[in-house]
Amino acid sequence: MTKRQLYALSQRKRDIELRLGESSDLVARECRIGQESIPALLMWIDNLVDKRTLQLTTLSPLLSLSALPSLPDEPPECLEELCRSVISAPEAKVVGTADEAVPLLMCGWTLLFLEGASGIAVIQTQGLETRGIEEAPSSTVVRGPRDGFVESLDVNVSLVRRRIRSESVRVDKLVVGSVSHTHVAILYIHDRAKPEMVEEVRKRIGKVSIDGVLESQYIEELIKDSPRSFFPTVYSTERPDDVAGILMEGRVAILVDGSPFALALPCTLAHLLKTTEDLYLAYPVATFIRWLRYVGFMMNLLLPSVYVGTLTFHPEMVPPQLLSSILTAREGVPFPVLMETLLMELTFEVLREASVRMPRSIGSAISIVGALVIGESAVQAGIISSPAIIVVAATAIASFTIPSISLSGTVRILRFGMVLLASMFGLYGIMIGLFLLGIHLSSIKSLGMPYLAPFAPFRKKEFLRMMFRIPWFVLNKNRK
Amino acid sequence: MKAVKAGICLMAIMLISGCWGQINFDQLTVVSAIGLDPDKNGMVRVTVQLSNPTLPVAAGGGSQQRRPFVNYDAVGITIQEAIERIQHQAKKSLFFPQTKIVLIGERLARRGLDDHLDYFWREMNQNLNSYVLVSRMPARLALDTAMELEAVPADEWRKYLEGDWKRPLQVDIQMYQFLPRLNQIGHQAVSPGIGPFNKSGKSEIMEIGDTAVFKNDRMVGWLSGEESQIVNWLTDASHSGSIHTDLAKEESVSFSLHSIRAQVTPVLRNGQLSMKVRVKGEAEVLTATVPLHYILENAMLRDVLNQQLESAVEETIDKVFRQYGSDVIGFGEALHRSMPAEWRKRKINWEKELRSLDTDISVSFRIRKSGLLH
Repeated sequence: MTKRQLYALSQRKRDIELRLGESSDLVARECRIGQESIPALLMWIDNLVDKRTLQLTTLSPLLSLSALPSLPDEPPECLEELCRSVISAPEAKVVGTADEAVPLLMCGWTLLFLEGASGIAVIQTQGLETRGIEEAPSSTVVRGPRDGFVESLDVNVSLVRRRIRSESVRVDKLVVGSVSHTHVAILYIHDRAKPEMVEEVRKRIGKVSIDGVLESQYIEELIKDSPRSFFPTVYSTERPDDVAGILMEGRVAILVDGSPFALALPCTLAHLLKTTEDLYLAYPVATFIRWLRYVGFMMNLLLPSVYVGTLTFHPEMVPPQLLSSILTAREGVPFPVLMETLLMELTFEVLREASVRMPRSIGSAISIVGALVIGESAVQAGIISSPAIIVVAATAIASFTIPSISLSGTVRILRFGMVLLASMFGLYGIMIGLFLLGIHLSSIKSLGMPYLAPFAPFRKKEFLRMMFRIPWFVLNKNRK
Repeated sequence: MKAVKAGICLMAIMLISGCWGQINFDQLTVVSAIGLDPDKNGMVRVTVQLSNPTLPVAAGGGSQQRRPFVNYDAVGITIQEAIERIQHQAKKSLFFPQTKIVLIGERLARRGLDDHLDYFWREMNQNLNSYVLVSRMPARLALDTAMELEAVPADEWRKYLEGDWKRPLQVDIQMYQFLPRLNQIGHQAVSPGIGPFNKSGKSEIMEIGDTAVFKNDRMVGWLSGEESQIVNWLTDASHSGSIHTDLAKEESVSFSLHSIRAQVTPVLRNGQLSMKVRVKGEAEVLTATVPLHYILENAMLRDVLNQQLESAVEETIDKVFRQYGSDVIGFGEALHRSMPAEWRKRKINWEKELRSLDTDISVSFRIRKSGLLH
């Protein structure tokens, strides 16, 4: 009898309630089971639990139970037996202490206490509202699958799994965040990804000590190599087909619950300039587009600085007719070339930020103000010369050719540095900037892979694959 | 705090134009042509043509009402001195790297250029790709009164000299080729000439034609268009041309010539240097004032053509070597390349050698097309 008193239901209920600070969304339901009418207690968090599942899998089997399958004298056994043969939820188990049970409770599981039993049965009844699968807004394609990741880890893993139906796909789940207890899944193909690579990723995530993870960026920043570098050494994508491709290449993907952005390691500059769509288009077109993207990358980085550098230091390089028209256009403009360019660049950055932040409904207003007022009127008012606007506009358009948001952001910042260098030393300054950039890029690595690979260190086969989209029939032939 | 101060200073430096070799871009005025004329006491009169930047017509620049160019001139012992004086008149910073034409007055060219052209060797901010022209009238006058379709005459001249269609009857030379040849006795400089052709009111229509022949830094005479064409072939500057052969009195056939390959080889026989010239090519009948029957007259036409060309080549070589004593076809350099020792022996008396040179000329043209008439 002492045992029964020891595990008195009311006391244990109180215990849990106190742990949760008597939170109002904690629901407790008492019931009696079987002919013996053994008191039992179910506890769950409202809204995390799908009530219908709870009723179907737990409540009704328990209540309709005629006889307990096991002797009431040994209640621990009895709890096990309940889980095994009565409760119809797909996941149910018995844990020993409240310490183990509460994290599960917070995940949407239901706790079952039985009078006289020391353990706690936990039943998976999670029911979270998720967004439907939609096209990933950050990386749209003309041709290719249109589904994008959502905020639920389970859905995301399933989206990847359904693309690679292989037994060798491994999903390792970890919990990160001392407060948020966020689930993080490491995905890899075990016979393709190097074991030490997987181990390294697991170690790095294991080392993460942070109280909350609300987005995969948190993880990215904590696990990336050379964290002080401006360049992203972790790939992020919103597309499940992209992740599937990454896994097939033998790289490791990380999915974080609550974020539609998956991470991938290792990640080099070449990876950041590729898109999945390259593989979905005809090979000549895809190669052409890829080169276009490389050009866009350089233009984005260098165009304003070349403009400033040439005009302020080497006007003799400008073709005569062009020089003549630039000189005419600049007549009466009050600012030096550098200031004019910086002003326009800043204006563009402000416009871009504004267009991300503003509500959709007033979107057209911003574009009208941006295009007409700033572009047209600034030239007519003689504040900015039209060549500067052309340069900034061309740069802006080129910046959208970079598929990776994080890389594009990096280049945006470096562009300003390049412009300043060009204004001090001309083309010489641009070369200094490029050298510094080259030194930095060749010194950083991503999960042991040099950031400029396969360009430096040079690997011919991979380099060719970077420059050209090799058609599948050639690849197949080589494999044979 | 220190970083903030340093940042402000840096920003200030960058925004101040004119700092650190920056060019004051907004004060730039492009010099499109430089004219050189002689003045008293060995001084030189420099004329600088500044073009006023204009928007292209496509960009709405057609209706602009301003002078397309302004000429300034000043006298100085050196070009540099004169240009400094011009700077005071023009007030803007003169921008030389896009100079298109350097116009040398004939009188100055005949007086000798060595004292003055040193400026072009030393000054870095200038365009070695500018074309050199010798003007029959004073360069200042030519720049003032020239009228062309384009607003700035120098633009038009440069485009003409750059283009390929003018080639056969016209030599062209750029500053970087012109300067070294002034001292190169084995390959002397030539330069296209420019002169007034037709006067209409205050302005003159200029004609680019003929060729000024230099001996060292002095101009010694002119070559006509036909002679220029032959010089062009022999220096490998052009591979096409045209010729009008006289069949009989007042009857003529015009040919256009293609694929011309000329070979100039020095031959040494018994210590006597001679020059072997081989010209090969294809001809096409363009116009004939007599009825021709191709099959019957093909051989005749060919022979007449070859004969006329052969004598033309001979006359041209005779003129430049014997009359002017100038090696404009680079025979000296050809000798230098093939027989360096011989060249070292003979170069001291090269002018004399040229005057007494034996020439062996053979011209063989093939008539490729008769114009499909028969």
